[in-house]
Amino acid sequence: MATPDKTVAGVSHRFPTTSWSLISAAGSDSSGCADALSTLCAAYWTPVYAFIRRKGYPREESEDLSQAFFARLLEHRTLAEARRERGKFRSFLLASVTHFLANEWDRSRAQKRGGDCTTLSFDFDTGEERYHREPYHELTPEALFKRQWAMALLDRVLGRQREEHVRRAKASHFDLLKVFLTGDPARGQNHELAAQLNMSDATMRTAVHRLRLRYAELLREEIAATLTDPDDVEGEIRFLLAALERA
Amino acid sequence: MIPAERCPECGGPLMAGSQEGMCARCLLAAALRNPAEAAPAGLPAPGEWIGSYRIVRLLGEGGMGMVYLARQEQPIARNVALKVIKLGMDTRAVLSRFQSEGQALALMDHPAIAKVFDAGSTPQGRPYFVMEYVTGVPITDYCDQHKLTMRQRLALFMEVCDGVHHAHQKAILHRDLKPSNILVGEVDGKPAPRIIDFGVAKATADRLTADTMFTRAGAIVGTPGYMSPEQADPAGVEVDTRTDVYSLGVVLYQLLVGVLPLDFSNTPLDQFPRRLREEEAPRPSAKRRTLVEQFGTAAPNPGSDPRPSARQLRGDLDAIILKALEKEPARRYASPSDLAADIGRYLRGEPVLAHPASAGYRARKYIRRHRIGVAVAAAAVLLLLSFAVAQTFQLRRTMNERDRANRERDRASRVTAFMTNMFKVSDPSEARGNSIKAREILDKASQQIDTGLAKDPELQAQMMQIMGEVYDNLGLYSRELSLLTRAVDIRRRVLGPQNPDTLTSMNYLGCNLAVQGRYAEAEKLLRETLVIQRRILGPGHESTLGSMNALSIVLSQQGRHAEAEKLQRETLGIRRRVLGPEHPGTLVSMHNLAIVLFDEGRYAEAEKLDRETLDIRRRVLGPEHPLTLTSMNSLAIVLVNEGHHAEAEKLDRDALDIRRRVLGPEHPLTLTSMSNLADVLDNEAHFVEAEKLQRETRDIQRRVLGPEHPDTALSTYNLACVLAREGKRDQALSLLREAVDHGLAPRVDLAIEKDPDLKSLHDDPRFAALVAHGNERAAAAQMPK
Repeated sequence: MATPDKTVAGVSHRFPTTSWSLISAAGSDSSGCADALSTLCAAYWTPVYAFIRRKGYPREESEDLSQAFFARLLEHRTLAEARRERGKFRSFLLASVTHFLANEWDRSRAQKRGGDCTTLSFDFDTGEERYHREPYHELTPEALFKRQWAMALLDRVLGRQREEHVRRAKASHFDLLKVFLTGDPARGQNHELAAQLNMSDATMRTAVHRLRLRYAELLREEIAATLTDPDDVEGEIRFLLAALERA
Repeated sequence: MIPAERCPECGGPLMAGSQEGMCARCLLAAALRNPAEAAPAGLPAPGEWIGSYRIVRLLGEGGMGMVYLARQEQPIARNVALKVIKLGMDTRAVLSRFQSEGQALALMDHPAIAKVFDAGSTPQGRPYFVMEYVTGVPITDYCDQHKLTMRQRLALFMEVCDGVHHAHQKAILHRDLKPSNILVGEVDGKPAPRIIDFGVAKATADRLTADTMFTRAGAIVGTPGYMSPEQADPAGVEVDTRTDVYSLGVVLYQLLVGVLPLDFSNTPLDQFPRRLREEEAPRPSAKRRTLVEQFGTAAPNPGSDPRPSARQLRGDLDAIILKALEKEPARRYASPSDLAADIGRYLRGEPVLAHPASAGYRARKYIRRHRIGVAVAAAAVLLLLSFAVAQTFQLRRTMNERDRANRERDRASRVTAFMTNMFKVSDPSEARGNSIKAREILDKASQQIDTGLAKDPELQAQMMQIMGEVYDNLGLYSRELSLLTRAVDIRRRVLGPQNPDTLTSMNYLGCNLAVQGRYAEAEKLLRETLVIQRRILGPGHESTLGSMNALSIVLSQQGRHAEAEKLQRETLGIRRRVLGPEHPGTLVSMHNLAIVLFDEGRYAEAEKLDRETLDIRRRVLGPEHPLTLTSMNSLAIVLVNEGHHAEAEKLDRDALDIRRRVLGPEHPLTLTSMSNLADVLDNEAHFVEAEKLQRETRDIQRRVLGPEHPDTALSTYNLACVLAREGKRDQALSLLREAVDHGLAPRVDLAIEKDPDLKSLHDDPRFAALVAHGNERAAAAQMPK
């Protein structure tokens, strides 16, 4: 079975120009919606892969099924279903893949790739590695899906933030300051870092402050892009946090 | 083996994958706090020590202060929640009040209450409390996110009431009950509520005066929506347990209606106490209707709304909620346990105390409840067991030729798997396909009872009500054994061991145990129940008969056929006389008796009875009714054993066609039919078709149930047998190996050696190795874990 092309870590950093809320509200521009759906799928394929894998399918078959699932998802019909969906993209995706596994009994269709369907390139090695690092024997496929979703989300956000820094030729700033996103390192380390970055303590504090602000913004944006109701963002953060807490 | 790394901040394991090497939990939590707010002076920062606790990160902000996640190392290493009380409160006074309550707080030990461990003051002089770190989401969020139904919400709420009541009995009031203080997490997949901040409110404010309620800027502190009228009264009336009842009432309102009863967001300060005292909350059912009209489907969250409809709220629930929300404490429930008790009554269909009693109301309630109580025992047992028995048949069916002594194998897990598969009404994000089909089956059954019993509307109505109960029960069946046990205990205690409801519960429990294969326990319980039923309800009562039916099956499963036959004949006799020869209950007894006869090897009698049952069911229930199909199956099995393969084949084909069409090509029962037909064909040496069918079954099962599922393994095994009979050795052996290695039940492992279908493999050296391997696996599987 041919391995799909590898992209850079399989994560797309392109921000969807339309979001889930727009996809799910019926619109006439189907190609724009297809693009947006495609981007969302590219961003969140790891939870799907992990879910299928955890259901008991061996690696190769899981790859096949993941491909087939996304190919199907991006066909016309499913897009129409997506439009009628009124919940979160996360729920929609989980329900879809569950349904897919239960009903996709014509195996020959899983083999079909290409043609005029959009194909997505996944980096299955990363997916498989992540899968193996999970304490999978304790988690149900659904719980695993949620955890992987949270992690995929965070990767996207951090990836985007990093890219912003790269574009301003300040990649090193991000790499050194990102630790501040989760807390304050020891005082001695602060000095060191400031020195490395050629900043005064005060300047660094400002930079950290801005970093944290922007991070929170991006995270909320990213989550909002998967919801139909932007007021749900706080709730979604708490939900994902709870999903991760149960280790 | 990948080494587990730990996050230096929160001590939790680092997740697999990237996040740029950082802790996913801390990253998410970081987004919750608002970074735009610079840390106010005097509050701890991550890494600092307060007492013997090291601050990890800010969790959030409450009305009284900030809450941090902290780590305790001595005397035990654990995460705790540390709450620092905000400026403006007198430290000494707070601490002394806390200490006086400290004893009582330390004595509280209830699963729904988060413990308070310690208190002290920070170096900056602020008081702090150390509490159990509870993860979970506010109860309102949890219910919405998990789309809990009304009954589930009520059950969860009752647990909360229980906890609050426990605290009241230790003379601790909460005084600040609201969803953010009632967090719900999950334990073993079930929702578990934890109430936090007990006693803290009292310690921090003896009396809520205007000063402590409102900040200097004039905004109202905390969430006024949950405050009781007496708490907001500046004259300061003493608060008591009924204050907490009020707050609980608000939470209940929110859980069932979706919004707060009174909205104070636009209320100026000075107006608040008056409004709270004078304004009546809108009736829940009326409010619900308004919301639905306003927002179309349901408010405020779009998407499927599992909250009750206005119609469901009207009447009892309205009364209960409003009673909890009475302005006068004296008119409310006196304690949370009274509130919970009334909810319990509502759930059981009994008259609730919240209503002013009227004779008509009471009478109506009792009649309705009594009917369900009477009929459910019988019919639930009917349905549960007829399905269970049908499945048992499938089990025996596929293995019958092989080795009768191995019948007992994994019956429990099979039946459980079957029931779970068939009636799984679980996580809403799960395959809608499966759960829709389960409901459709029951829907169809109800429909056909409709047409079949058109002559007897009363009976018809009863059976339909029963179906409603059965939906619930079947859904709970596979996991709720402990719940049923508790129900029996409570009913025994509260209603008495002879109350009809108690007997109903005992019945359910007995059936549950039976279907799970715990026959000895089931027998004991059912016998116990029968003794009482015979005495109190009478030997001809349907409930008594239901227990007799269940007991006879339990006996049969244990191999005590003679006893089972006697009991079932007795049951059948009474039913024929009392219910009539074509009543579904009578038919079930006929069906079950046929099985017992079959077990005794009396095939001719079994065949006769099965035919009779099938004829009547076809006529009365319809040719496609699930029970008709079960009878077809049952008759086919008998015929095979008598060697009448052709007729058995026809029956199996017909059943399969109908099931494929009605249930879908992947329903467990369809797969069973496929497997059975393959079995018959195999017997007739129609190997080509048998092999094809068996393969198809296996393929579908691999996809639907997964490659490790016992059913899949069994199909693999069966396919191997067909191949062996065709002489396709290599394939047969490799499939056998696969089955053994991927979920084949231990008893089947042990049966390989003696299985006549595999005879052709005996002289192959690989066979002996396989048998040894199978024996090993079986032995390993039976070691205690």
